[in-house]
Amino acid sequence: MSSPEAAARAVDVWKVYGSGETEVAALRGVTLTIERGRFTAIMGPSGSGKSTLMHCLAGLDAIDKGEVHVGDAALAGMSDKQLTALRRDRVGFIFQQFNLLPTLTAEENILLPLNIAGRSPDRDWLDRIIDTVGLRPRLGHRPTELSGGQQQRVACARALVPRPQVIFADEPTGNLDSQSGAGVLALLQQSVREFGQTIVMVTHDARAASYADRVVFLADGRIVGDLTDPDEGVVLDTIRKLDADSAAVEAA
Amino acid sequence: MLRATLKSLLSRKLRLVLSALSIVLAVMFVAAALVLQDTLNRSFDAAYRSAFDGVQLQVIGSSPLGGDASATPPVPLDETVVTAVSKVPGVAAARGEVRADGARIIGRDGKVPDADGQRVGVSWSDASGATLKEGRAPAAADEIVINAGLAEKTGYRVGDTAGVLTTRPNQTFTIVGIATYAGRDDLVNGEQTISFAPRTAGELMLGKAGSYSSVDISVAAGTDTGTLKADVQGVLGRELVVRTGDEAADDAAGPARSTSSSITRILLGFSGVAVLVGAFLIANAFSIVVTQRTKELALLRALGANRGQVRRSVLLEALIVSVLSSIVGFALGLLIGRAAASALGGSTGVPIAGFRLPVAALLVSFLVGIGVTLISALVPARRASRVAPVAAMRQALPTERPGKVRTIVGAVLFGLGVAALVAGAAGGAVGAIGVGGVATFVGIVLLTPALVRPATGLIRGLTRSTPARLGRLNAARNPQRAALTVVSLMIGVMLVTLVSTILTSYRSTVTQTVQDNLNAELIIYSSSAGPGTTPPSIDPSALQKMRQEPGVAAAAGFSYETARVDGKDQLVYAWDDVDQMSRIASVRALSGTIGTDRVMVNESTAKSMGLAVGDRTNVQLVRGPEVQLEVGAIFADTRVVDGFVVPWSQAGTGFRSPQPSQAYVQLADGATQADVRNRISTLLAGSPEVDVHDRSELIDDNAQALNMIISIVQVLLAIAMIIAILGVVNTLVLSILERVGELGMLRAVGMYRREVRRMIVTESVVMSVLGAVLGVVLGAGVGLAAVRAFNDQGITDVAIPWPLMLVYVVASAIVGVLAALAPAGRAAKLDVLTAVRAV
Repeated sequence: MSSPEAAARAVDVWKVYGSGETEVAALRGVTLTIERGRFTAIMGPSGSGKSTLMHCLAGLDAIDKGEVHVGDAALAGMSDKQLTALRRDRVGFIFQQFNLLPTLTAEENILLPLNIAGRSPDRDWLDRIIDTVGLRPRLGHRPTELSGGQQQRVACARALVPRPQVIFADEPTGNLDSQSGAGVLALLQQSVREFGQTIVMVTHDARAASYADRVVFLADGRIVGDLTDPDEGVVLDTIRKLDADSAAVEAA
Repeated sequence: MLRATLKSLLSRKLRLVLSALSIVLAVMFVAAALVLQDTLNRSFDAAYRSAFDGVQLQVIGSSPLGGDASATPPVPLDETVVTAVSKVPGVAAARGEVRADGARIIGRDGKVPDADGQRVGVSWSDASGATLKEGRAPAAADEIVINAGLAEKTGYRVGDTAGVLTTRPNQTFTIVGIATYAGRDDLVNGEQTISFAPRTAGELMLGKAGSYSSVDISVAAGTDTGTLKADVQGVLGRELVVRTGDEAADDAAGPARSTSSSITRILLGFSGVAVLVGAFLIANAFSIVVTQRTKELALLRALGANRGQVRRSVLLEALIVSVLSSIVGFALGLLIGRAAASALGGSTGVPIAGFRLPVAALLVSFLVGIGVTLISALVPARRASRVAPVAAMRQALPTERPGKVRTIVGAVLFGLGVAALVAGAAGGAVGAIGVGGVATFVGIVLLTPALVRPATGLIRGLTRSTPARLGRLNAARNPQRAALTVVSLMIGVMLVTLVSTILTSYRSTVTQTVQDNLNAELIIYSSSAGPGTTPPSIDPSALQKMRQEPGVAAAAGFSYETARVDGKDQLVYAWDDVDQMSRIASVRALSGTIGTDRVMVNESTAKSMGLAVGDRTNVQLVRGPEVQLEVGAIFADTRVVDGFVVPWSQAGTGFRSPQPSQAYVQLADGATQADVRNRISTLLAGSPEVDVHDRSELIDDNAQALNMIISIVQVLLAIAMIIAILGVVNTLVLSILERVGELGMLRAVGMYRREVRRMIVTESVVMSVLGAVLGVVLGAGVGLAAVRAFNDQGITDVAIPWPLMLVYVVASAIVGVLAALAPAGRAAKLDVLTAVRAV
């Protein structure tokens, strides 16, 4: 079943919230393979299930039906402890709100996942990441002394340093101005191209999605589109077309 | 605004409960203490009033030392007073009565039975309310009647003979009757009453034949008691006191009342600590409230609420919480106070007075509960009013920094406090120690926010694992908040370390003195006599015989008593044999001559009193008129028998008991201690209150008394700790709520639940141990200064209670772990997904 190309896989994944009359299906049979060494964006309007899909892929949320694999590990039936170990060893996260610890310096924040896992950093690799994110002069600063863009680059470095099988980025530019946002997106793109890092990014911003190698569109808990190497215009066209389709469905 | 306040209050139930608990506890202690006192006092009053039912008016001598008439022995009155009173128009009859503490019967086992109340000797009188249950009234000098309660306690029956100690040594009496009082076994519950023949009572109880302790007056029909009281007073003059039966009852209830008020004082001390710790907790809770509500408050401001309204909204919340908590605290206190009164009453046999809502206790409880809460909430309320409307829009809360002014004021106060402590220690000024201690404490309280960060930095090496390191950093994250928590823990530890340091030094001093300076191998004393009762007595003839015993080199008895010397109350001593005492304690005159007819003072006491040989002092002892005594000798400090020593003849007339209450026995070379001890014990058969002890027993008995005080103080620590735990829990729970997003991130990037728990526990332990360390250091520091200052008062040895201090620090660490259990569990169980979104 497992493909050597897949960093993560979802097979016929269903996720239902509530029960009975108030039952809402956030994911309705989603099947998706995240290829290794590629930058995948998941797009969709709010309520489309894109964040739920990411959380399920990352082992943060349990699914109701189907299968989820991260690398060769099946998430079904894993205990909290096993899921934590999986996240610790194989998964990286970049959050919309950066989620840095204000008590630690930039460098300490970058090293936090390795420290938690009790692993010592590969010095050369660490230096390379720090230079890539361009934060060398800021390493001793605390998050409150950094700009939003800088904070998000610290968060990126934090996700990159342990070399996880896959990094999940949840609206990484959602709290940034367009210039800082572009910097962070370029950084993510670079990590995929140069380091072969697998990244999955959830976004509702077509411009952000255009940095990805592949864009998957979600609506009403189903995959409704899948583009490879799109530019911003194609992404926007697709969104418009999907909107029109769903309007037509509702009208019908 | 009211509705907004109420809503916000209800939406934060947890916070409400935690801040309320500290108020509840503080109010509970205050209320319990006051209710207990009120109930006991009413019970004692009722018991004594019924005992004095038969007395309409009574004449007594005014106590020479003033103060509580029942605490000092009665002044003997003679027949002339009876005659004078009889002649006052409106007096139907006047009769002299004797009633004085200090009649101690010796039981069948040769011991003096325990007493729950006074042990009085009275003159038998049909008018005193006594009814013979069996036998007859005492007629001969060697006949007595005992009360039914005492008969039951000792097993004595009519016809038995028993030894009784009075102001005279042990004499044997025949029990000729057993009395009841208005159907009760005791005149007052727990009191032992021995009735003597009227002619002998004065001699035995007052030291003077034919004297009375009071003249009781029967008021003629148709005469107003109040008018007659004034008339009698007019005839007798100011030297004598005329009082009504109720007043007499209240005076007689004095010792019982003072027992209950000393219990109340301990409880009030506890509540004082509870209130102090609670105040810090409330301040903490409300400052957290304000931080949490910053956005909400800013929104209110943005919507047009002015500063005053915001401030009042916080104070209103404090008011509501404090009123509710005070009600609960008062109700609990009422229950506890009643229960404690029943328990104590049960042990003394006094029937407990019925329930009454004590208005004073109610007022004080609410004043304390509401007042302390509002005062503690003032600073947070002021901060709340300073929240800028724009804060509603801001993302993150600004991190708190310790205020500069506050730190400087703290440092200055601390410096001045330490200076005062050092000066006080050097100069023996206890007042300076008090001022210095308070200043140092306040200084530390103000300094703590600035101390938290560097202090947590010190233990970097101990917190190497990532969760522990994060916990340590979190502890120092909000220095103000952490400081309030740390201080609330510090208070209890500081107080108990302070007391332990002083007591340990005292104990060590006693041990040293007994071992190095006391040249007596055997010491005769009573290990059970409490303060305030008639002191135990040693038969002088037994001491005389002891001196003849082979193996005894010297034996000397002594007594001490509170007296007024040149207008100042102090202890005075008397030695029954100056030569023997001088040999035992190596008394050596520096000036004047050691002798039996004049006052002797040791060097340092003489110095502090400003006395020299030849000076005359006015001494008012508990009995008799004021006497002028000349200082005959100043002797070198002995550390054993130092003090103001009056001639033994003065003890005979002026002390409560004319016999020695303690004695030292020095063995001759080559004598076997056990052998001499046995023979001396035999000689003391007639002095059943005292026993022969060796030095180590003396040291142990002393230590035991001190250990009891330390235990009481440790109960206080426990109470302070319980309240402080609430503070730690409060701080932790609210910090966790604030950091949910962070916890989510940590869990997302792979922190196990147990590591989250370890992180929170570390934060808690860091705060509690910091509190304990500050408390131990401050307590020991102030304690040492006090010990140095007490040098002149006889605490010459300095001892730091290291083991206890270590125990307090370890206990605080355990407290930290316990306090963290629930919050840490809660943090670990957070749903990762919900948490990570909650930024």
